[in-house]
Amino acid sequence: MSLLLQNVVSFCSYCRKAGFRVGFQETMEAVELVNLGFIHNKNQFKFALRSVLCSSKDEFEYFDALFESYWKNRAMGSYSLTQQGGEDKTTIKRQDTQSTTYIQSTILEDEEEEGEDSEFTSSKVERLKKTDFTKITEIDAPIYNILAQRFYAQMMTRISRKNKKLNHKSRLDLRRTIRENLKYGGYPINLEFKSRIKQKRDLLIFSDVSGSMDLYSFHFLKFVIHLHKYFRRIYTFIFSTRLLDITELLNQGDLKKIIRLLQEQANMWSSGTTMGECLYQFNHTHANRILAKRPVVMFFSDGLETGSSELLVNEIKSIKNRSKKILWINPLKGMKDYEPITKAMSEIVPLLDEFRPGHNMESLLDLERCLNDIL
Amino acid sequence: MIDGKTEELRNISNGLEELNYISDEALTINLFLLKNLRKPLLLEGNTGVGKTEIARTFAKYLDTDLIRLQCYEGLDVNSAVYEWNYQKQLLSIKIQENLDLSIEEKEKHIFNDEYLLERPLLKSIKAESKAPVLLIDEIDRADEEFEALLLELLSDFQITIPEIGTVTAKQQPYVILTSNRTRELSDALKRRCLYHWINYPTAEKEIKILQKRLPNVSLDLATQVVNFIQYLRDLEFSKIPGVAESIDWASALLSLNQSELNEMIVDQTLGTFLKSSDDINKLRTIGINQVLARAAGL
Repeated sequence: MSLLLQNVVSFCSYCRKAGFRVGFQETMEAVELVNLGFIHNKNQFKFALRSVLCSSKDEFEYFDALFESYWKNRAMGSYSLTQQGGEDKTTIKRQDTQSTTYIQSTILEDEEEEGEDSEFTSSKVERLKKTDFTKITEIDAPIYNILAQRFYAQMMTRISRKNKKLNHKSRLDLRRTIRENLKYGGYPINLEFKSRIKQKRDLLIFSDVSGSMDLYSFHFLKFVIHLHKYFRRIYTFIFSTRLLDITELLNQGDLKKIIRLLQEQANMWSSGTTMGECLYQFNHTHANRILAKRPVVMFFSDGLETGSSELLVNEIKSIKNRSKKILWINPLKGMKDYEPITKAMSEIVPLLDEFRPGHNMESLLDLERCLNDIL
Repeated sequence: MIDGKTEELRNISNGLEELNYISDEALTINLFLLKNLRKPLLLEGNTGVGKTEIARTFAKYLDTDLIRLQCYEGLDVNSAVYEWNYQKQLLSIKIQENLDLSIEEKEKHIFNDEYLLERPLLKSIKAESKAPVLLIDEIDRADEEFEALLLELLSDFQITIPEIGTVTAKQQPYVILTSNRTRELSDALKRRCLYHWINYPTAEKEIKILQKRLPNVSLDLATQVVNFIQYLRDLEFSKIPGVAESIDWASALLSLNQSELNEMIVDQTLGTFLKSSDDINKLRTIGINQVLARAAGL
């Protein structure tokens, strides 16, 4: 077992610990790069390893730093090679049991280490799922983010799969088959199918980013990013005292930009919510484009309106007329004794098809059933 | 001392350049690995950075066929792998009606290569003499089901057709997948691929590309166009102009006999690089002259 090989294998394990998806297969390939002669030039070695070990843009961008920090204190491949001369011609084949066992044992050790790490115990996961968005501590935040990422992604995958099943072409359309085949003397040469058309709805999301909703909307938008990642035809607007279309930003999945935008919003317009005016603006500039297909509309807001509640109710009515369904997700509804008694909210609730809480991860995951029918 | 690898890397890089594709070291290494490890290469990057073009050029470089599969929502086995030619089968049954053949023989006859319509994926593994380049374009547009279907092909390079059996590749194709990241691809697929992210090129490289693609363009005009576009890329437009747009714009300017940029001509040819009315309005609000001045300072 050469020093170089050991270093490459332990670099793979280093990447794995940094969250890369590097398993046995990838490690073997990294080792094969040595055979291909990639160790004489540091840059080439880096690029080659990067292409074998990375599987997403984030990893791709992070890799360089990882590579530098690992090899900084270690003999670079070329160094150890020239030092040891010809005897270190490492020819490692897949059949080479010695190196195979070595790699496997490294992976096993890594897994064991992870097992001892009790960050993801089920009781903790359950607790975090139920934690109110505003009460997530800084200590919990990193784990929370990983969990949210994981659960939201699973949920989106489930929704998208269910949906695909339904859209299969399935039944034979005999009437059209015969008609279509008259030209062949009635022999059914071209078969015609009835496709079960389940019209996919667009989804229009309005998220409140005013001061009172600050933390909630931040977590909600993380959820919305996942919707954008997995589905097309989703439109998202944020509002406080002004309406802003962030559909494109979310499509690009650039969370940093969105956070920056939210912060700007919070600084400049944190005083109050004029939802009525914002929706008025929507109805006049975007509605024709977006409401034409009768989308499902989802509001994420606490409904605390500082503007005219009459205007707000009117605008919502006009959106309701042109949409399939209206859902309202209200973080306050997660509180024990909450009743929609503010003037605006009490008038809006009768217009809604669904009125749900949205104060923690669990409540957002519960949206799966609703979304199943839509997306 | 030049070893085989260094020489091959140089060959690839020069070969691509002769075919008007400017590669960089990382990409060249990826193509080298694609060629030697025979692992599919997944290229991601924004629109218009030349992902599809790489496959085309690489096929030309290897002097082999390019088989292209454009993905879309709802792409299925019938249009990606194979389909039976039902019409021909039915006609054949009709012709054989009065022949004295057993049912098994008739059946064997119509489930024959002759009645098989090869779609890109099957075609790619049936190549006889030279391994083709298989380009699976915009895989992110296809459904997850299709991704699952690809897994068998990408790991074993074989396709199972129930009526015939398993077809194994005689010449394992070079597979290049591209994605615009409109959705996440499945881990299983990603793990089977080499990964490379293509960024927008540097100004220097982009000028080189323009000159390669449009031999008539002057260095001066190319520089102006590239600086302008590079400046636009930082302005957060909703559709960021890619390299393809720079080339389009430069060739539009050439055909209009323009040797340099000015406000009027930029305004008249905006449509070649900005593809939405919001973006065009945004540029006009910022002021074309303003951008011209700042871009010149780059």
